Amino acid sequence: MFAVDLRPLLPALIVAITALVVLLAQAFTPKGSRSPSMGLTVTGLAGALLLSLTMAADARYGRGATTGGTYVADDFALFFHVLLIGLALMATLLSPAYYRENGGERGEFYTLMLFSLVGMLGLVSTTEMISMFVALEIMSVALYALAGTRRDQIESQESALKYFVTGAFASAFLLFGMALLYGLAGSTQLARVARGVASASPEQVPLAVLGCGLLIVGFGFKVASVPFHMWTPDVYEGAPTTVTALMAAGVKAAAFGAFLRVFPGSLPALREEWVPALAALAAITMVIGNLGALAQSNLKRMLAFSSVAHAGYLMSGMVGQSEAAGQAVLFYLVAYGAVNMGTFGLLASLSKGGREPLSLQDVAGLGERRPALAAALTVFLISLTGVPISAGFVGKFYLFGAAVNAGYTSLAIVGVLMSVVSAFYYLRVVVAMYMREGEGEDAWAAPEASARLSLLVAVVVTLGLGVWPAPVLDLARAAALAL
Amino acid sequence: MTGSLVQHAVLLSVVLFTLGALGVFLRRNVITIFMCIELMLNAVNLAFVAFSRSLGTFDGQVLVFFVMTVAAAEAAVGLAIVIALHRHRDTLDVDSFNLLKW
Repeated sequence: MFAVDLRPLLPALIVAITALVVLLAQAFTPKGSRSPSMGLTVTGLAGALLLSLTMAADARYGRGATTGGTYVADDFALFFHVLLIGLALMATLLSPAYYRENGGERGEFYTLMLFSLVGMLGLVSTTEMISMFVALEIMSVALYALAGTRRDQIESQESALKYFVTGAFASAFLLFGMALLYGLAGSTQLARVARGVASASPEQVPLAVLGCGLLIVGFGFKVASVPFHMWTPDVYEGAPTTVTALMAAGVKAAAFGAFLRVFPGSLPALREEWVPALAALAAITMVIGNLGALAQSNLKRMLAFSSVAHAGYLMSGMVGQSEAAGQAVLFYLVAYGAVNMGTFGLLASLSKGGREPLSLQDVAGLGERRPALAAALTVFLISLTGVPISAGFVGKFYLFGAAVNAGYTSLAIVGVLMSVVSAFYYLRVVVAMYMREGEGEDAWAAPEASARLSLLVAVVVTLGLGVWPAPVLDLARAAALAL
Repeated sequence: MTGSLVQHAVLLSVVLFTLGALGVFLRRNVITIFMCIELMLNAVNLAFVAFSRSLGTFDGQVLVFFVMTVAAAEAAVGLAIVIALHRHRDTLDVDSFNLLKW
């Protein structure tokens, strides 16, 4: 009797079907009539979100089930499902106004975004390397195209090209790492790889270490850690801002999900080898990310370097012992995801008639003319810095705590020092908003209701997690235990 | 006999992979860079097939099919991006795509 339990796949399937429906609806919508894409996308995503929450609540609905031993719906996967689908929903609500103001308003955004989400959901749910590779590529290929959706703008095309070249290059490294581990273990199942590595004979150990190293290179590209971060500023700057939001928040979360499953989850036998490597990468990532951000005058570029720096903070949490480390990283991914979606989303929703607020001067005077938006941006920037009562503070506290407990006190010190440095470039924006006079006319758009809702959610999550982090911390702990 | 065959195949795959990776850095034409990435992917395929043969499990060969499919999808999207860029700039030299600092 051969029965396959398809329940773990359902949320991703719903998203995939929504993507196809949106694609077809686009084709059959008569010219001039209102496009149903956004409504369909929001409905599909809400359905997938509800389903994931139901599955997480009760084992009867698929919590803990596996599909053919390769695709699981454990607490870890479901935690990420809720986070990723939530982020996609926020991006969907932010996008239509942005594309209308900046040209290139087409249905492709929704379809590609949904396909990319399918890949992200797969990436955090697979326990097997073939599906992991395929999921990674589903996510990436859709994003390459998304980065280039502003067809009239050469920056957008250039960003797509750079993302494509570096992404494909990184995938090759990841694959070669997988090949070496497969050669060692004789199976692509991560559980078997774990056993194969644990029982490797002395002459096989170098092979395993080399495989590990190549995997770190591959994942390093995807999460934008130094020295594999060169693409990040260019791509984040050139891509449409709402796509950048999705890249910064969603892709990073999904890539860290897979990173956690492979390294602390499946290669604990090689901890001695990869933990120091990761710690070193984390340290230089924090330093170069923050110093790079200091030098930027373009806000999107600055936030790109900030995203590199945050990859460093997250990696410094990963050197900790599996469970505490996992908890810290998962919590921070929620905090970071909401904040980044909020920051990029806010910049996107201020853009008007093809002009985006990109320099400090462009946001000068925002505090006076748009007090609510300025307050929201201040909350996000405070959280990115890691000031108390924001989600960023609690997150960093746990990340650096995990590093200290693992004996990497110096890493925590670097992290804290760099957070202080980061205060300079984040707060510079706040100062510009409140202290500087804006140019005469009002150059900003008024965000529409859907965008405001999305930003409100981001603010509530940021402050909520800062004041009362316990529930999400508990969930993150349960999720990390499932690894 | 099989043992040494596998070793040779994996060695060849490492050489091809390195050539591909070097090409990505040294070549300036987008299409050539793209071909170098394909070379890297095919080097990986060779390693997978060799391991699969020596280990007697089929996971590696299954993966190769997926790599080929994914590479085709990537090629489609990648070439589309290259064409879109070529419409703006009449060149394929990566050094000229410098609007955003590389």
